[in-house]
Amino acid sequence: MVRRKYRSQAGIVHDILEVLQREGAMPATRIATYANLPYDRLKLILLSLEESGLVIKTKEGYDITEKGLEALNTLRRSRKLLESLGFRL
Amino acid sequence: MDSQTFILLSAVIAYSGAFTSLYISLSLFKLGEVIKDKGLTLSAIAMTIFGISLLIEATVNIMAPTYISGPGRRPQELLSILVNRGTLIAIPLYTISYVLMASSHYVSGVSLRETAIPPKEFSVIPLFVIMFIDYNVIDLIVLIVAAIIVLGKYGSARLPTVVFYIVLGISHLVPVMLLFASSSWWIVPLSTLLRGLAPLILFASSLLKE
Repeated sequence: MVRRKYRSQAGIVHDILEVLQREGAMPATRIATYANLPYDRLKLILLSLEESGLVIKTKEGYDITEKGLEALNTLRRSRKLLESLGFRL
Repeated sequence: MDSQTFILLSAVIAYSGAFTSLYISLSLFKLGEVIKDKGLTLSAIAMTIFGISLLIEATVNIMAPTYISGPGRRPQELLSILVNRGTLIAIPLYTISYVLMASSHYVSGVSLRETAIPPKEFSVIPLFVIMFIDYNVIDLIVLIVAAIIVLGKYGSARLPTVVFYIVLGISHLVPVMLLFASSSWWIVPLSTLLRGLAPLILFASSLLKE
């Protein structure tokens, strides 16, 4: 039996925001590759991040906002705490 | 160490653990709100309830009289009951807290292989557990084991997390010794002390550098 792999929502958001900060704006398909996520799952998460104002849709694809950068820094600071609590980042 | 000092020590550690739990929950609430992760919010609620339970337990237990005398009474037994009162009040809250801790990892876990959203019908299981099992030691141990299993599947079973749950499990097992120990004044404070220690271990591990 193949063991399913799970990652926390926080870990996925961290990966998405980090790749957008590092590489700049990109289409959802490329983000899906970097974040190691199925495309349709990623689209739902991007939609939620867009509603929260953490990412913005541009003509190149998706880009990180100022609020997104703040969220990324908060996630980085909380990384050890989340891992200690058992959330897979 | 005399009984007074030990009860006081357990209360101090329980208060420290309670405030640490509330601090952790505040961080989780903020983070859950920013990234819209319901799992983090559930975990924050669980830690809040855990912190409040510890506060109630420590406060009520420490207010218990340390000496009872009078005709026709059995002072030692009465004292044991009074010292345990805070723990009895807090137990249902601990149960709710552990159910939420287990659920938070399930809610936050995102499958990396499945393309469709997985069914969430299993998320009601903890609710059934809480409805059908009485609030007792076995219940709490079952819930802690369930939390470790859910953690292993949907989260990441790292050493600090497993130690956290094991210390909690032991803290609930310790009162079983009440059945066997003749002088048992230290058992309830010890279990409170362990429950206070668990979030402190968790928080301290998050401060360690890699």
